[in-house]
Amino acid sequence: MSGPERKKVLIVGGGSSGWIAAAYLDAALNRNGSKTVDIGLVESPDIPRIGVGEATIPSIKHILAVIGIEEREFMRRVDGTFKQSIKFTNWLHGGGEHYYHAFARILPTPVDTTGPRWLKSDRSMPFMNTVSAQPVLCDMNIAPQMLGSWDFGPPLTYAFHMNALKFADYLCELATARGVEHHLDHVTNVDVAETGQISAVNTKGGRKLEADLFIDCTGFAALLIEKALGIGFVDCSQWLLCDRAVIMNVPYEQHYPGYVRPYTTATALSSGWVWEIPLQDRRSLGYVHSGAFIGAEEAERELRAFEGPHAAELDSRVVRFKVGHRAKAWAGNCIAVGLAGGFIEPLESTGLYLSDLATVMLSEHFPWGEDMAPLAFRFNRIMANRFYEILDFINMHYCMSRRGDSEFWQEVVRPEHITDRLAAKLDFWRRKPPSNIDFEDQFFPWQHDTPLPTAGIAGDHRAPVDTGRLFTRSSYEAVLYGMDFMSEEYRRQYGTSRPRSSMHRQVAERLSLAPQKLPAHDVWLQRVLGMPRYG
Amino acid sequence: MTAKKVLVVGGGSAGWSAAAYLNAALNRDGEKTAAISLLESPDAPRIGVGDATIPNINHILSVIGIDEREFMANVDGTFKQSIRYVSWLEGRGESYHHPFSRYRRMPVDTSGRDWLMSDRSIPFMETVSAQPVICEMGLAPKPLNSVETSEPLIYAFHLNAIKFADYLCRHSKARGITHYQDDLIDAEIDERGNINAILTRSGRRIEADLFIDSTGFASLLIEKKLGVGFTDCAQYLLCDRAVTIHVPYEQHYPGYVLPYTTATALSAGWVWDIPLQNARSLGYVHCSSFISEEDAERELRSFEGAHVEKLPSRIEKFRVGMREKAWAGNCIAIGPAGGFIEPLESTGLYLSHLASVVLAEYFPRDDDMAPMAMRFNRIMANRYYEILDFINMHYCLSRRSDSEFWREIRKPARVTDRLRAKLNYWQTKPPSSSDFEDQFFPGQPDCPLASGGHPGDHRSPIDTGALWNHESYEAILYGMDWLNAESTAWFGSSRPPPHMSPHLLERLRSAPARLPLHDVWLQQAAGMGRYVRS
Repeated sequence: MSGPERKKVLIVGGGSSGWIAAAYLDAALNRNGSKTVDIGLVESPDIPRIGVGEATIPSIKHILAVIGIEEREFMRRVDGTFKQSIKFTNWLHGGGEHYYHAFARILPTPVDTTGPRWLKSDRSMPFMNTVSAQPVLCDMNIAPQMLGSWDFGPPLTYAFHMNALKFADYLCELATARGVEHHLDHVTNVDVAETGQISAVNTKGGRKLEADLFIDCTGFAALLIEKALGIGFVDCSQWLLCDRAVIMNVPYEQHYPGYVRPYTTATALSSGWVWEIPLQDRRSLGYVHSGAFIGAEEAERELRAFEGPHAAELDSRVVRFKVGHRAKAWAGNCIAVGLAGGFIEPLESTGLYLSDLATVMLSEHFPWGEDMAPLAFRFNRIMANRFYEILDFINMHYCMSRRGDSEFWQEVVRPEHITDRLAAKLDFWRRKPPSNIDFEDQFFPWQHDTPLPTAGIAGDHRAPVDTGRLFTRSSYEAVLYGMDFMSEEYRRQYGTSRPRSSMHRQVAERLSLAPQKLPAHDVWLQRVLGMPRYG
Repeated sequence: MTAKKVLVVGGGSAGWSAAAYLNAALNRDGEKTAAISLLESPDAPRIGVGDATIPNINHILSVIGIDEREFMANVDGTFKQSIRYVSWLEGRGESYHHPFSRYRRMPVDTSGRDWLMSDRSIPFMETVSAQPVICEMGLAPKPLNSVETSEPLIYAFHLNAIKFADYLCRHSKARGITHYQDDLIDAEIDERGNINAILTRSGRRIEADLFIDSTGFASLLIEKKLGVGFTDCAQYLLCDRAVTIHVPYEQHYPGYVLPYTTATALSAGWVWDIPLQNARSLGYVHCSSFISEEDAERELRSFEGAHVEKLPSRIEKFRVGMREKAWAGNCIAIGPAGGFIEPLESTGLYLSHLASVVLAEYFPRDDDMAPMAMRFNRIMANRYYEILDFINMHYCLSRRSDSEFWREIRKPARVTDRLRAKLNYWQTKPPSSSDFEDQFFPGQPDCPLASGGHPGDHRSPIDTGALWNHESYEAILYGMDWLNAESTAWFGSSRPPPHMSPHLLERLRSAPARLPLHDVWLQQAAGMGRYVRS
């Protein structure tokens, strides 16, 4: 930490992660009328401008609050809709069954026994329905907000679906109006000093852009962190096999189903799963799959067949990705934010979250002095911890499956595709259902203490530590019990005449009033945001 | 599933808390998971000591199903909103508060950094909490009858630990816990190292599936019978003894009941001052290598004043450290048998309560208890070191050098590696919330748990900030005037006064009209007697 001297930050890349970094850092660091950083962003004018649908998690609200964006204005600008849950379909057997991972649930105090009680019940009602109103609200396509001001008890937790490109454009407008310098130019090469620090980037337009800190938001290209600094990538495709998605937009002009779902749907197909993200003007679909098990053409056919005949004429495109993280997301004076720093497939909508987190962490660990190494050490450790926390959690969605109806589904449940950390947890939870204290310092019997693959930074040879900051007991219960965890074992132990699963009183009360209080999702979007009416 | 038999050995506040909590937490929803009994020596000393708690006690009371006012009336209870530290920095009567409630600015809380950039003319804690001033005004944290309209003030309690044990005993017996008044004389251990039964003086043989050792420092089961070692931590916390005095209000009533604990540094340690409903409890926690028993007693008496001349005092000895495995075989040590840290942050009862809560969560359902024990031991060790480091910091930030003791505790050998790495790091950047997830910092050696904890568990303890977060650290660091010279170097010598949020000022302005004096609250709601000011 040092005095009032201003630091210069240059962000390279202008997608949603680049503009989030620009707008957030400006808002967080240049507060209370004191300007402490000068921020610039250089963005190639040649970058393809294709809008994709993106789902978020509730942490996005912190980003909006810090930047100072009003929620309704935000939704208007980004074709935004509400997201209350993810609905996972066909993950367990592939027979049309589903479960919800909702954002809001009740947590009875002082001792929450809802999970253990459900395990011992006859499971006649899905677990999530016993503790949350959101599965039923989602089934009814109901909005989590009232048309007027809210008077319906504790708020329902939600995030958003949005057009990521429009979000980037909106943030660009805000950030440049607040003084972030915007260079539309193509980076040609990077000047690296002998110390391993970047001193400047040079552009096609002949500019030399100097800064104290460089943020690499160039996506998988990783122009600074990899191409210029040579920092390696830790591949994690052993645990998450999908490496490609075929994507399609279904405009409401072409096909309007008659409602806008207030949740993301993730439907398992033969070699992966399809996201379905409803926006205000279209639905965005993407079949995330593994290239080793299905060809691109076949995947496209499967996606079209899944959506139905109205999708026959629509354009599709393929995006490739690699699951893994940068050995050091912060090296020297360069910080990789977004895909250049790491990528995990979007099954739990954590893509934008990881960029957001990197930005929040950078503002908390902003290097005011010259010695950045201690800050980089902590930043890298926190980002790696969180990366593995997400990796393990998504890994679990696959390895609990009992499908086995394709090579892909036979493969994903093999022991070598389950992380050591997750395997140790699942073993432990077979003896005792998940409870709160499991989520502090998640190190379990039989777990190997494998250091971070690259040891992160000199001296940091410890294994990643999952401190349960993102996925808590509630999240694990949602997925485990949604996937019918230990059904055989409990049937054997407690017999066939077990008590019926029951909905918590508070949930039932809320549901009985919800239809009077809460409008249909599309009605809310039309009345409050001016979403058009479709036939 | 048949209920497991649990025998708690030892009937102090740790033993009775464990019995009452486990009974309430495990036997819920019409299911009986545990059949609990407690064995207590009829000769155990019955001397009431004052104990201070932290807010987690509210969870324990709520699970056991205890009404707050009834509880306070039964245990001579008073409110505790803060600890006030006196004479820790320079030894000249200067003080700071570590209160329980604090205001968080949203969405980004920069109060710590803002205060570092100020001229420090208002103590840090007063810029973020109404409680230091509410404490100095001697107010209760809640109104008598009306409901608090703004955000409630967080509080814990001061209580008489023996009365607390007695109260839990009556409460538990009414709920079916068997109470044996008898002395343990031996235990039957099988070849796997599990306890099968214990034998008592009157010839009883009591079998159980699980044995809880709440026999205090005597550690009759975990140490004497199972031979599990003790990891000594006296290198980092030197105090090993306390001389205590009770000052009954009948004898001397100051005219008020402070709604906080006071911890005043003396020549070779510090004195607690814990106000109860009928007495104040004083205890001079000190280090026997630096002061004799007699000198410590004299120093305590002269600290309190002439009115304590005739009052009896007594000595308690303790050792700072933890059981290598608090859970070994089918025996779980809860209370001082499991580990002890000096009471500077009132964590004594907390550590017993935590052990009960974790045991309820990790209650063994089958015979293979080892995985539950591994997790229990890891969580307890993490928390133990978390508290050790935090208390260590109170000493090592002192600038006192007026006695051998204060010169000694500042030596580098007296500061834990973990704390040192943090303090070094915080000279790069002030503490912030993400420092408290996975607290591993540059330059910190990776030292496994002393005993390896469990086969395969060779990792260092990990402080996950479950108890002390950046706000707790800020309270102590900034209370101890930390980074003062550095701030001048960074931000110059003419800095603006600190900012106080209008929200706090408003709260303070309205407090005297909304909150009664602490003693008035106690007299009207908890049956405290009326005393004449001395």
